[in-house]
Amino acid sequence: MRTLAANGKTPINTLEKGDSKLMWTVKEKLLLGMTTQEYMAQAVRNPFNWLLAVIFAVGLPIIIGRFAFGLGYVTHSSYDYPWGLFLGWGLFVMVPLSASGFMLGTTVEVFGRKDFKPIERLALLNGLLGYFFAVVFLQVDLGQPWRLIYPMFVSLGPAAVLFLVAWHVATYLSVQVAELVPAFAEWMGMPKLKKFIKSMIIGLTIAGIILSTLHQGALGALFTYAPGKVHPLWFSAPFLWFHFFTSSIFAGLCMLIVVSTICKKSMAWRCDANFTDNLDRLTLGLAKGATLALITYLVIKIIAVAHDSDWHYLATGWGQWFMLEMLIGVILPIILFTYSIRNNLAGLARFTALITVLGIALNRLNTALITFNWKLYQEIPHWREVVIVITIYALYIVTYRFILYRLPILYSWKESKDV
Amino acid sequence: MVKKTTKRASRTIVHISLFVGSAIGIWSVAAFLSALAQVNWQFSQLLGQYLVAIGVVQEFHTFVDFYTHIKGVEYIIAVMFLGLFPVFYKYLNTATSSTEAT
Repeated sequence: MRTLAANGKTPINTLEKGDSKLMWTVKEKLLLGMTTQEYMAQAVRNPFNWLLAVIFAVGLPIIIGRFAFGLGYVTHSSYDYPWGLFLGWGLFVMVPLSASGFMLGTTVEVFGRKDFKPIERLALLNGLLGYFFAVVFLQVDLGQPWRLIYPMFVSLGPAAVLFLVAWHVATYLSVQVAELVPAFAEWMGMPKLKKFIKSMIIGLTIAGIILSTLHQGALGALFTYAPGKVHPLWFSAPFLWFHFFTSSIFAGLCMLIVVSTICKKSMAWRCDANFTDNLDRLTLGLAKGATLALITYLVIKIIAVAHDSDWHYLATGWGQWFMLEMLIGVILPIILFTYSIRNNLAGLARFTALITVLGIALNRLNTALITFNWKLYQEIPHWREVVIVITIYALYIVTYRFILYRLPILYSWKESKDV
Repeated sequence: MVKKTTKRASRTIVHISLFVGSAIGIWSVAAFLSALAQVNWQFSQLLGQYLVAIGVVQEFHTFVDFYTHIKGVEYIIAVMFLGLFPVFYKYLNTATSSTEAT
Protein backbone atom coordinates (compact mmCIF):
# COMPACT_ATOMS: atom_id res chain seq x y z
CA MET A 1 0.00 0.00 0.00
CA ARG A 2 2.94 2.29 0.72
CA THR A 3 4.11 1.79 -2.89
CA LEU A 4 0.65 2.56 -4.26
CA ALA A 5 0.37 5.66 -2.07
CA ALA A 6 3.79 6.79 -3.35
CA ASN A 7 2.46 6.35 -6.92
CA GLY A 8 -0.41 8.74 -6.29
CA LYS A 9 -3.12 6.32 -5.09
CA THR A 10 -5.12 8.15 -2.42
CA PRO A 11 -6.36 6.01 0.47
CA ILE A 12 -10.09 6.27 1.17
CA ASN A 13 -10.86 8.97 3.73
CA THR A 14 -14.34 10.11 2.70
CA LEU A 15 -17.68 8.62 1.71
CA GLU A 16 -17.60 9.94 -1.86
CA LYS A 17 -15.34 9.03 -4.75
CA GLY A 18 -13.32 12.10 -5.68
CA ASP A 19 -15.50 15.05 -6.66
CA SER A 20 -18.35 12.87 -7.92
CA LYS A 21 -21.49 12.11 -5.98
CA LEU A 22 -20.82 8.37 -6.24
CA MET A 23 -20.35 6.67 -2.89
CA TRP A 24 -17.72 4.04 -2.07
CA THR A 25 -19.29 0.62 -1.59
CA VAL A 26 -18.46 -1.45 1.51
CA LYS A 27 -16.46 -3.86 -0.68
CA GLU A 28 -14.44 -1.00 -2.14
CA LYS A 29 -13.82 0.38 1.33
CA LEU A 30 -12.71 -3.04 2.57
CA LEU A 31 -10.33 -3.34 -0.39
CA LEU A 32 -9.02 0.19 0.32
CA GLY A 33 -10.31 1.48 -3.02
CA MET A 34 -8.39 -1.11 -5.04
CA THR A 35 -9.58 -3.87 -7.32
CA THR A 36 -9.39 -7.42 -5.94
CA GLN A 37 -6.35 -8.13 -8.14
CA GLU A 38 -4.58 -4.95 -7.01
CA TYR A 39 -5.34 -5.77 -3.39
CA MET A 40 -4.03 -9.33 -3.67
CA ALA A 41 -0.92 -8.14 -5.52
CA GLN A 42 -0.01 -5.62 -2.81
CA ALA A 43 -0.69 -8.25 -0.10
CA VAL A 44 1.66 -10.74 -1.78
CA ARG A 45 4.34 -8.05 -2.26
CA ASN A 46 4.54 -7.41 1.49
CA PRO A 47 7.21 -9.70 3.05
CA PHE A 48 5.61 -9.36 6.50
CA ASN A 49 2.54 -11.17 5.14
CA TRP A 50 4.74 -14.14 4.19
CA LEU A 51 6.03 -14.32 7.74
CA LEU A 52 2.44 -14.24 9.02
CA ALA A 53 1.48 -16.98 6.55
CA VAL A 54 4.25 -19.24 7.91
CA ILE A 55 3.16 -18.56 11.51
CA PHE A 56 -0.49 -19.38 10.72
CA ALA A 57 0.45 -22.48 8.71
CA VAL A 58 2.29 -23.88 11.75
CA GLY A 59 0.10 -22.46 14.52
CA LEU A 60 -3.49 -22.98 13.38
CA PRO A 61 -3.30 -26.81 13.21
CA ILE A 62 -1.83 -26.80 16.74
CA ILE A 63 -4.69 -24.59 17.99
CA ILE A 64 -7.16 -27.04 16.42
CA GLY A 65 -5.21 -29.85 18.14
CA ARG A 66 -5.59 -28.09 21.49
CA PHE A 67 -9.40 -28.07 21.17
CA ALA A 68 -9.48 -31.62 19.77
CA PHE A 69 -7.07 -33.36 22.17
CA GLY A 70 -7.25 -31.13 25.25
CA LEU A 71 -4.88 -28.91 27.20
CA GLY A 72 -2.39 -31.71 27.84
CA TYR A 73 -1.57 -31.75 24.11
CA VAL A 74 -0.12 -28.23 24.23
CA THR A 75 0.88 -27.39 27.80
CA HIS A 76 2.68 -28.76 30.85
CA SER A 77 -0.16 -27.57 33.10
CA SER A 78 -0.56 -29.41 36.37
CA TYR A 79 -1.97 -28.86 39.87
CA ASP A 80 1.36 -27.18 40.70
CA TYR A 81 1.23 -24.92 37.66
CA PRO A 82 -2.42 -24.19 36.85
CA TRP A 83 -1.50 -21.64 34.18
CA GLY A 84 1.27 -21.13 31.70
CA LEU A 85 1.98 -18.69 28.89
CA PHE A 86 -1.68 -18.39 27.80
CA LEU A 87 -2.54 -16.54 30.98
CA GLY A 88 0.97 -15.47 31.98
CA TRP A 89 1.46 -13.64 28.68
CA GLY A 90 -2.02 -13.43 27.17
CA LEU A 91 -3.87 -12.14 30.20
CA PHE A 92 -1.42 -10.77 32.77
CA VAL A 93 0.82 -8.98 30.22
CA MET A 94 -1.75 -7.91 27.62
CA VAL A 95 -4.26 -6.41 30.05
CA PRO A 96 -1.92 -3.78 31.62
CA LEU A 97 -0.58 -2.91 28.16
CA SER A 98 -4.18 -2.19 27.16
CA ALA A 99 -4.78 0.39 29.89
CA SER A 100 -4.22 3.12 27.28
CA GLY A 101 -7.98 3.16 26.49
CA PHE A 102 -9.21 4.41 29.82
CA MET A 103 -6.11 6.59 30.33
CA LEU A 104 -6.59 8.61 27.15
CA GLY A 105 -10.41 8.51 27.43
CA THR A 106 -10.06 10.17 30.82
CA THR A 107 -7.42 12.63 29.61
CA VAL A 108 -9.47 13.87 26.66
CA GLU A 109 -13.11 13.48 27.71
CA VAL A 110 -12.94 14.09 31.48
CA PHE A 111 -9.87 16.29 31.98
CA GLY A 112 -10.60 18.18 28.77
CA ARG A 113 -7.09 17.81 27.32
CA LYS A 114 -8.28 18.06 23.71
CA ASP A 115 -4.65 18.42 22.57
CA PHE A 116 -4.40 14.61 23.01
CA LYS A 117 -7.33 14.05 20.62
CA PRO A 118 -5.16 12.96 17.63
CA ILE A 119 -4.02 9.86 19.53
CA GLU A 120 -7.20 9.12 21.52
CA ARG A 121 -8.74 6.67 19.06
CA LEU A 122 -5.49 4.74 18.74
CA ALA A 123 -5.43 4.44 22.54
CA LEU A 124 -9.03 3.18 22.57
CA LEU A 125 -8.32 0.64 19.82
CA ASN A 126 -5.17 -0.54 21.61
CA GLY A 127 -7.28 -1.05 24.74
CA LEU A 128 -10.10 -2.83 22.93
CA LEU A 129 -7.88 -5.26 21.01
CA GLY A 130 -5.65 -5.95 24.00
CA TYR A 131 -8.65 -6.93 26.11
CA PHE A 132 -10.32 -8.85 23.32
CA PHE A 133 -7.25 -10.96 22.66
CA ALA A 134 -6.72 -11.46 26.39
CA VAL A 135 -10.16 -13.11 26.29
CA VAL A 136 -9.09 -15.14 23.23
CA PHE A 137 -6.02 -16.37 25.14
CA LEU A 138 -8.28 -17.18 28.08
CA GLN A 139 -10.55 -19.17 25.78
CA VAL A 140 -7.65 -21.20 24.41
CA ASP A 141 -6.64 -21.94 28.00
CA LEU A 142 -10.14 -22.77 29.27
CA GLY A 143 -11.57 -24.50 26.21
CA GLN A 144 -15.32 -24.92 25.67
CA PRO A 145 -15.93 -21.36 24.40
CA TRP A 146 -19.69 -21.82 24.60
CA ARG A 147 -19.33 -21.77 28.39
CA LEU A 148 -17.83 -18.26 28.38
CA ILE A 149 -20.91 -16.82 30.07
CA TYR A 150 -20.88 -19.39 32.91
CA PRO A 151 -18.97 -17.30 35.49
CA MET A 152 -21.33 -14.39 34.85
CA PHE A 153 -24.75 -15.99 34.59
CA VAL A 154 -24.70 -19.68 35.48
CA SER A 155 -22.08 -20.48 38.15
CA LEU A 156 -22.22 -17.29 40.14
CA GLY A 157 -19.46 -16.67 42.68
CA PRO A 158 -19.92 -13.07 43.82
CA ALA A 159 -17.29 -13.43 46.58
CA ALA A 160 -14.60 -14.53 44.10
CA VAL A 161 -12.04 -12.23 42.49
CA LEU A 162 -12.45 -14.17 39.21
CA PHE A 163 -16.18 -13.33 39.21
CA LEU A 164 -15.20 -9.66 39.46
CA VAL A 165 -12.60 -9.99 36.70
CA ALA A 166 -15.03 -11.80 34.36
CA TRP A 167 -17.75 -9.19 34.78
CA HIS A 168 -15.36 -6.27 34.52
CA VAL A 169 -13.62 -7.52 31.39
CA ALA A 170 -16.97 -8.29 29.71
CA THR A 171 -18.55 -4.95 30.53
CA TYR A 172 -15.38 -2.98 29.85
CA LEU A 173 -15.04 -4.64 26.44
CA SER A 174 -18.58 -3.51 25.64
CA VAL A 175 -17.74 0.02 26.78
CA GLN A 176 -14.63 0.10 24.57
CA VAL A 177 -16.56 -1.17 21.56
CA ALA A 178 -19.09 1.62 22.14
CA GLU A 179 -16.30 4.20 22.47
CA LEU A 180 -14.98 3.19 19.03
CA VAL A 181 -18.40 3.15 17.39
CA PRO A 182 -18.01 6.81 16.22
CA ALA A 183 -15.03 5.75 14.04
CA PHE A 184 -17.05 2.87 12.58
CA ALA A 185 -20.09 5.13 12.07
CA GLU A 186 -18.00 7.66 10.13
CA TRP A 187 -16.57 4.90 7.94
CA MET A 188 -20.01 3.41 7.26
CA GLY A 189 -21.70 6.80 6.82
CA MET A 190 -24.06 6.55 9.79
CA PRO A 191 -24.09 10.05 11.32
CA LYS A 192 -27.07 9.34 13.61
CA LEU A 193 -25.27 6.42 15.24
CA LYS A 194 -22.21 8.60 15.81
CA LYS A 195 -24.36 11.37 17.30
CA PHE A 196 -26.10 8.88 19.59
CA ILE A 197 -22.81 7.47 20.96
CA LYS A 198 -21.28 10.95 21.24
CA SER A 199 -24.24 12.00 23.41
CA MET A 200 -23.28 9.45 26.05
CA ILE A 201 -19.49 9.51 25.69
CA ILE A 202 -18.90 11.01 29.17
CA GLY A 203 -20.96 8.21 30.76
CA LEU A 204 -19.05 5.60 28.79
CA THR A 205 -15.70 7.12 29.76
CA ILE A 206 -16.59 7.20 33.45
CA ALA A 207 -17.84 3.60 33.25
CA GLY A 208 -14.52 2.72 31.61
CA ILE A 209 -12.54 4.39 34.41
CA ILE A 210 -14.47 2.56 37.14
CA LEU A 211 -14.32 -0.84 35.46
CA SER A 212 -10.69 -0.79 34.38
CA THR A 213 -9.43 0.70 37.65
CA LEU A 214 -11.15 -2.09 39.54
CA HIS A 215 -10.13 -5.01 37.37
CA GLN A 216 -6.50 -3.95 36.81
CA GLY A 217 -6.19 -4.14 40.59
CA ALA A 218 -8.32 -7.29 40.75
CA LEU A 219 -5.82 -9.13 38.53
CA GLY A 220 -3.20 -8.45 41.22
CA ALA A 221 -5.62 -9.38 43.99
CA LEU A 222 -6.07 -12.71 42.21
CA PHE A 223 -2.68 -13.80 43.53
CA THR A 224 -3.87 -13.53 47.12
CA TYR A 225 -5.44 -16.93 46.33
CA ALA A 226 -1.91 -18.35 46.28
CA PRO A 227 -0.05 -16.98 49.32
CA GLY A 228 3.31 -18.66 49.68
CA LYS A 229 3.44 -19.75 46.05
CA VAL A 230 4.58 -16.43 44.57
CA HIS A 231 7.97 -15.23 45.83
CA PRO A 232 7.51 -12.68 48.68
CA LEU A 233 9.33 -9.94 46.74
CA TRP A 234 6.60 -10.12 44.07
CA PHE A 235 3.77 -10.93 46.46
CA SER A 236 2.28 -8.56 48.99
CA ALA A 237 -1.26 -9.26 50.13
CA PRO A 238 -2.14 -5.65 50.99
CA PHE A 239 -0.24 -3.99 48.13
CA LEU A 240 -0.32 -6.35 45.14
CA TRP A 241 -3.58 -4.98 43.74
CA PHE A 242 -2.08 -1.48 44.01
CA HIS A 243 1.13 -2.55 42.22
CA PHE A 244 -0.91 -3.97 39.36
CA PHE A 245 -3.06 -0.87 39.09
CA THR A 246 -0.22 1.68 39.29
CA SER A 247 1.95 -0.22 36.85
CA SER A 248 -0.92 -0.50 34.37
CA ILE A 249 -0.92 3.32 34.10
CA PHE A 250 2.61 3.60 32.73
CA ALA A 251 2.31 0.27 30.90
CA GLY A 252 -0.71 1.54 28.91
CA LEU A 253 0.91 4.90 28.15
CA CYS A 254 4.20 3.31 27.07
CA MET A 255 2.43 0.73 24.90
CA LEU A 256 0.62 3.61 23.19
CA ILE A 257 3.97 5.31 22.49
CA VAL A 258 5.33 2.04 21.03
CA VAL A 259 2.24 1.39 18.89
CA SER A 260 2.08 4.98 17.60
CA THR A 261 5.77 4.74 16.65
CA ILE A 262 5.16 1.50 14.73
CA CYS A 263 2.20 3.15 12.96
CA LYS A 264 4.27 6.18 12.02
CA LYS A 265 7.09 4.03 10.66
CA SER A 266 5.13 1.24 8.96
CA MET A 267 1.91 2.91 7.75
CA ALA A 268 2.81 6.55 7.20
CA TRP A 269 0.48 6.56 4.15
CA ARG A 270 -2.50 6.05 6.48
CA CYS A 271 -1.55 8.76 9.01
CA ASP A 272 -2.71 12.29 8.34
CA ALA A 273 -0.81 15.48 9.15
CA ASN A 274 -2.82 15.99 12.34
CA PHE A 275 -1.38 12.70 13.65
CA THR A 276 2.20 12.86 12.37
CA ASP A 277 2.78 16.56 13.09
CA ASN A 278 1.61 16.20 16.68
CA LEU A 279 3.20 12.84 17.45
CA ASP A 280 6.47 14.09 18.97
CA ARG A 281 4.62 16.46 21.30
CA LEU A 282 2.11 13.75 22.25
CA THR A 283 4.88 11.20 22.84
CA LEU A 284 6.60 13.52 25.31
CA GLY A 285 3.25 14.27 26.99
CA LEU A 286 2.54 10.56 27.42
CA ALA A 287 6.12 10.02 28.63
CA LYS A 288 5.59 12.66 31.31
CA GLY A 289 2.51 10.86 32.62
CA ALA A 290 4.36 7.54 32.51
CA THR A 291 7.32 8.97 34.48
CA LEU A 292 5.11 10.21 37.31
CA ALA A 293 3.38 6.82 37.46
CA LEU A 294 6.75 5.02 37.39
CA ILE A 295 8.16 6.91 40.38
CA THR A 296 4.94 6.33 42.33
CA TYR A 297 5.10 2.61 41.51
CA LEU A 298 8.76 2.43 42.58
CA VAL A 299 7.97 3.91 45.98
CA ILE A 300 4.96 1.63 46.53
CA LYS A 301 7.12 -1.38 45.63
CA ILE A 302 9.70 -0.35 48.24
CA ILE A 303 6.95 0.27 50.81
CA ALA A 304 5.62 -3.25 50.16
CA VAL A 305 9.08 -4.73 50.81
CA ALA A 306 9.27 -2.68 54.02
CA HIS A 307 5.73 -3.62 55.08
CA ASP A 308 6.40 -7.35 54.85
CA SER A 309 10.00 -6.89 56.07
CA ASP A 310 11.29 -8.77 53.03
CA TRP A 311 14.66 -6.99 52.98
CA HIS A 312 16.64 -10.16 53.66
CA TYR A 313 15.37 -11.67 50.38
CA LEU A 314 17.24 -8.93 48.50
CA ALA A 315 20.50 -10.63 49.45
CA THR A 316 19.50 -13.82 47.60
CA GLY A 317 19.52 -14.79 43.92
CA TRP A 318 15.80 -14.02 43.66
CA GLY A 319 16.56 -10.64 45.22
CA GLN A 320 19.10 -9.88 42.51
CA TRP A 321 16.55 -10.86 39.87
CA PHE A 322 14.04 -8.54 41.57
CA MET A 323 16.54 -5.68 41.66
CA LEU A 324 17.44 -6.24 37.99
CA GLU A 325 13.74 -6.05 37.09
CA MET A 326 13.36 -2.81 39.06
CA LEU A 327 16.57 -1.37 37.63
CA ILE A 328 15.81 -2.07 33.96
CA GLY A 329 12.02 -1.83 34.06
CA VAL A 330 11.54 1.10 36.45
CA ILE A 331 14.62 3.09 37.51
CA LEU A 332 16.30 3.26 34.08
CA PRO A 333 13.04 4.39 32.39
CA ILE A 334 12.56 7.11 35.05
CA ILE A 335 16.07 8.48 34.30
CA LEU A 336 15.77 8.22 30.51
CA PHE A 337 12.22 9.61 30.37
CA THR A 338 13.20 12.56 32.58
CA TYR A 339 16.19 13.33 30.36
CA SER A 340 14.14 13.02 27.17
CA ILE A 341 11.31 15.22 28.48
CA ARG A 342 13.62 17.96 29.74
CA ASN A 343 15.61 17.95 26.49
CA ASN A 344 12.66 17.45 24.14
CA LEU A 345 13.99 14.14 22.74
CA ALA A 346 10.98 12.21 21.42
CA GLY A 347 13.21 9.48 19.94
CA LEU A 348 14.74 8.68 23.31
CA ALA A 349 11.27 8.69 24.89
CA ARG A 350 10.18 6.08 22.31
CA PHE A 351 13.15 3.85 23.06
CA THR A 352 12.47 4.21 26.80
CA ALA A 353 8.81 3.32 26.28
CA LEU A 354 9.91 0.07 24.64
CA ILE A 355 12.17 -0.75 27.61
CA THR A 356 9.28 -0.01 29.98
CA VAL A 357 6.90 -2.27 28.05
CA LEU A 358 9.46 -5.09 28.22
CA GLY A 359 9.96 -4.33 31.92
CA ILE A 360 6.27 -4.61 32.72
CA ALA A 361 6.04 -7.83 30.68
CA LEU A 362 8.92 -9.22 32.75
CA ASN A 363 7.18 -8.17 35.96
CA ARG A 364 3.95 -9.93 35.05
CA LEU A 365 5.76 -13.05 33.85
CA ASN A 366 7.77 -13.04 37.07
CA THR A 367 4.63 -12.82 39.19
CA ALA A 368 2.53 -15.31 37.21
CA LEU A 369 5.13 -17.80 36.05
CA ILE A 370 8.81 -17.41 36.89
CA THR A 371 8.61 -16.88 40.66
CA PHE A 372 5.41 -18.93 40.95
CA ASN A 373 6.20 -22.02 43.03
CA TRP A 374 9.64 -20.62 43.76
CA LYS A 375 10.18 -23.30 46.40
CA LEU A 376 9.30 -26.11 43.98
CA TYR A 377 10.53 -26.74 40.45
CA GLN A 378 10.55 -24.38 37.48
CA GLU A 379 8.03 -25.05 34.74
CA ILE A 380 9.29 -24.76 31.17
CA PRO A 381 6.40 -24.12 28.75
CA HIS A 382 5.66 -26.77 26.11
CA TRP A 383 6.87 -25.78 22.60
CA ARG A 384 3.30 -26.05 21.28
CA GLU A 385 2.20 -23.54 23.93
CA VAL A 386 4.84 -21.09 22.68
CA VAL A 387 3.70 -21.61 19.06
CA ILE A 388 0.05 -20.96 20.01
CA VAL A 389 1.01 -17.75 21.83
CA ILE A 390 2.96 -16.54 18.78
CA THR A 391 0.05 -17.47 16.47
CA ILE A 392 -2.58 -15.65 18.51
CA TYR A 393 -0.29 -12.64 18.86
CA ALA A 394 0.13 -12.67 15.06
CA LEU A 395 -3.66 -12.76 14.74
CA TYR A 396 -3.79 -9.75 17.10
CA ILE A 397 -1.35 -7.87 14.83
CA VAL A 398 -3.33 -8.76 11.69
CA THR A 399 -6.59 -7.56 13.27
CA TYR A 400 -4.90 -4.39 14.52
CA ARG A 401 -3.52 -3.66 11.03
CA PHE A 402 -6.84 -4.48 9.32
CA ILE A 403 -8.68 -1.90 11.44
CA LEU A 404 -5.97 0.76 11.26
CA TYR A 405 -5.86 0.53 7.44
CA ARG A 406 -9.57 1.22 7.22
CA LEU A 407 -11.25 3.02 10.12
CA PRO A 408 -10.42 6.66 10.84
CA ILE A 409 -8.06 5.99 13.74
CA LEU A 410 -4.82 7.51 12.45
CA TYR A 411 -6.53 10.03 10.19
CA SER A 412 -9.58 12.28 10.29
CA TRP A 413 -12.59 11.29 8.20
CA LYS A 414 -13.61 13.98 5.73
CA GLU A 415 -17.29 14.59 6.28
CA SER A 416 -19.52 14.75 3.19
CA LYS A 417 -21.36 18.04 2.70
CA ASP A 418 -24.70 16.19 2.42
CA VAL A 419 -24.26 14.37 5.76
CA MET B 1 34.64 45.39 40.85
CA VAL B 2 31.99 43.78 43.07
CA LYS B 3 30.93 41.57 40.16
CA LYS B 4 34.51 40.37 39.62
CA THR B 5 34.93 39.47 43.32
CA THR B 6 31.61 37.59 43.37
CA LYS B 7 32.59 35.67 40.22
CA ARG B 8 35.97 34.69 41.74
CA ALA B 9 34.32 33.62 45.01
CA SER B 10 31.75 31.44 43.21
CA ARG B 11 34.52 29.86 41.13
CA THR B 12 36.42 29.03 44.33
CA ILE B 13 33.28 27.44 45.81
CA VAL B 14 32.85 25.35 42.66
CA HIS B 15 36.48 24.19 42.85
CA ILE B 16 36.19 23.31 46.54
CA SER B 17 32.93 21.42 45.89
CA LEU B 18 34.53 19.53 43.01
CA PHE B 19 37.53 18.61 45.16
CA VAL B 20 35.44 17.48 48.16
CA GLY B 21 33.00 15.62 45.88
CA SER B 22 35.81 13.82 44.06
CA ALA B 23 37.49 12.90 47.34
CA ILE B 24 34.23 11.49 48.76
CA GLY B 25 33.55 9.71 45.48
CA ILE B 26 37.00 8.08 45.36
CA TRP B 27 36.73 7.13 49.05
CA SER B 28 33.23 5.61 48.49
CA VAL B 29 34.32 3.58 45.48
CA ALA B 30 37.46 2.38 47.32
CA ALA B 31 35.42 1.45 50.41
CA PHE B 32 32.82 -0.35 48.29
CA LEU B 33 35.43 -2.29 46.32
CA SER B 34 37.41 -3.27 49.43
CA ALA B 35 34.20 -4.41 51.16
CA LEU B 36 33.32 -6.43 48.08
CA ALA B 37 36.82 -7.95 48.04
CA GLN B 38 36.43 -8.99 51.70
CA VAL B 39 33.31 -11.04 50.87
CA ASN B 40 34.96 -12.67 47.87
CA TRP B 41 33.20 -10.36 45.39
CA GLN B 42 29.74 -11.66 46.30
CA PHE B 43 27.33 -8.75 45.98
CA SER B 44 24.48 -10.58 47.74
CA GLN B 45 26.71 -11.28 50.73
CA LEU B 46 27.74 -7.64 51.00
CA LEU B 47 24.15 -6.45 50.65
CA GLY B 48 23.02 -8.90 53.35
CA GLN B 49 25.71 -7.69 55.75
CA TYR B 50 24.86 -4.08 54.99
CA LEU B 51 21.14 -4.63 55.67
CA VAL B 52 22.01 -6.24 59.02
CA ALA B 53 24.47 -3.46 59.87
CA ILE B 54 21.95 -0.67 59.32
CA GLY B 55 19.28 -2.56 61.30
CA VAL B 56 16.79 -3.17 58.51
CA VAL B 57 17.26 -6.93 58.88
CA GLN B 58 17.11 -8.04 62.50
CA GLU B 59 15.31 -10.46 64.78
CA PHE B 60 12.18 -9.35 66.57
CA HIS B 61 11.01 -10.89 69.82
CA THR B 62 7.53 -9.44 70.03
CA PHE B 63 4.84 -8.60 67.53
CA VAL B 64 4.84 -4.99 68.77
CA ASP B 65 8.60 -4.73 68.05
CA PHE B 66 8.05 -6.05 64.54
CA TYR B 67 5.10 -3.79 63.87
CA THR B 68 6.83 -0.70 65.23
CA HIS B 69 9.84 -1.43 63.04
CA ILE B 70 8.03 -1.99 59.74
CA LYS B 71 5.68 0.94 60.31
CA GLY B 72 8.64 3.19 61.16
CA VAL B 73 10.46 2.28 57.94
CA GLU B 74 7.26 2.67 55.90
CA TYR B 75 6.55 6.12 57.33
CA ILE B 76 10.11 7.28 56.61
CA ILE B 77 9.76 6.15 52.96
CA ALA B 78 6.28 7.71 52.64
CA VAL B 79 7.34 11.07 54.11
CA MET B 80 10.46 11.14 51.92
CA PHE B 81 8.27 10.51 48.88
CA LEU B 82 5.85 13.27 49.93
CA GLY B 83 8.78 15.67 49.89
CA LEU B 84 10.45 14.22 46.81
CA PHE B 85 7.43 14.03 44.51
CA PRO B 86 6.70 17.80 44.21
CA VAL B 87 10.42 18.49 43.69
CA PHE B 88 10.61 15.81 40.99
CA TYR B 89 7.39 17.08 39.39
CA LYS B 90 8.84 20.59 39.18
CA TYR B 91 12.14 19.28 37.83
CA LEU B 92 10.33 17.24 35.18
CA ASN B 93 8.29 20.22 34.06
CA THR B 94 11.24 22.57 33.79
CA ALA B 95 12.82 22.50 30.36
CA THR B 96 16.59 22.88 30.07
CA SER B 97 17.96 26.19 28.78
CA SER B 98 18.85 24.59 25.44
CA THR B 99 15.25 23.36 25.00
CA GLU B 100 13.83 26.76 25.92
CA ALA B 101 15.97 28.42 23.28
CA THR B 102 14.60 26.22 20.47
